[in-house]
Amino acid sequence: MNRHQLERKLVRSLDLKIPVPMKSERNHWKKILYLAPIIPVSFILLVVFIGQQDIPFHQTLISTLSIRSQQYVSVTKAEADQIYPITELKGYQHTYQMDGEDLSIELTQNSTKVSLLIRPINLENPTEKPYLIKDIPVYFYQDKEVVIAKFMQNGYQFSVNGNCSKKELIRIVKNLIK
Amino acid sequence: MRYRSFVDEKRLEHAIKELQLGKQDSLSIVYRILYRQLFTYTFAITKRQDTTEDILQEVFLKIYQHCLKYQNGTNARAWIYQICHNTSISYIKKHSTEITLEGETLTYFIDQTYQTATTDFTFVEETLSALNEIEKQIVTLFLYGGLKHKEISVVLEIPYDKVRSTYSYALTKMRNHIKKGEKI
Repeated sequence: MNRHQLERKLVRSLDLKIPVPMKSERNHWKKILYLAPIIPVSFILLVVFIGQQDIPFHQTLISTLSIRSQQYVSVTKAEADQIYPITELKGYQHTYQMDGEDLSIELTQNSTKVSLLIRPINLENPTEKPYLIKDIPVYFYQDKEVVIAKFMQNGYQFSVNGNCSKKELIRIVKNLIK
Repeated sequence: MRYRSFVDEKRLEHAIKELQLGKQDSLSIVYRILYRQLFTYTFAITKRQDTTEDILQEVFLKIYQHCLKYQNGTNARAWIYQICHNTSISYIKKHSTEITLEGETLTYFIDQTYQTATTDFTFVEETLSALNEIEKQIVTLFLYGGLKHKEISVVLEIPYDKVRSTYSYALTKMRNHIKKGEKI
């Protein structure tokens, strides 16, 4: 195996198909290319339209462009609307039983992050430390607080120190944040 | 080395400039251009999907918070990789005491999440095990991060010539390691 073959093999061996949850801009441009034959017709119609209106050309063009950018933003915003605002998460408390033990799941919030706590409900020793603590950083999107983790659609990662089954916990938290 | 588009580089630089002006939407452009490459690079270091996702969250948050520290005209990709590299290293150090649960193997996550992935991570792991830490970092940045030698020298703060020679030496080392394995 020469060095180029080795490089290729190393790259191909870790060829992860990573889902990127955002709309690809490349496809966006492709769509414009498909629309290319229509553009001259639209331009003629635009000129005719401007001719009938008493508005300077550049102003119309700017407003057309701004409508276009608003449309683009609205697509992204629609995606963002599916994100849970922190206000809906904070103070959430849910009890869950696992392996015969009662667990309490809480989501708390301070100014910079949301914390996810899972603790056993132990009536004899209520101050027992939680099984799991996860701080999710906060991302501000268009004046709206959202959880960045959710923004990236991977909002369920946490570390576990204890005897819980991680697979089970992922399922719980996924249901919790859904 | 992975394919890099010239247009993407320009868009990346433009997005960071926009971010500096307070346009938060630009972060999504940075995210779209770099997420896959940053993911593969971080994944090659951490070998865990959940840790990689955690690190990348922090990385994008840091890009957003510290975008004003980026000097226009310098290499945006190298700047972001430097953040990613430093975050990964400090994250690993910070979480080195954590217990990994049994059964939480890499294959489990690949099977669960990236079902279509054509991965042979044992080969990567085995081959990279022949290298020391700095060689590993240079190789992963070059092959999985898609950085040029010059950019790697910025990220790791090592002279350019040393990056080139170390990379070349690392490849020889890995080839010898594979040869040894085949003989056995």
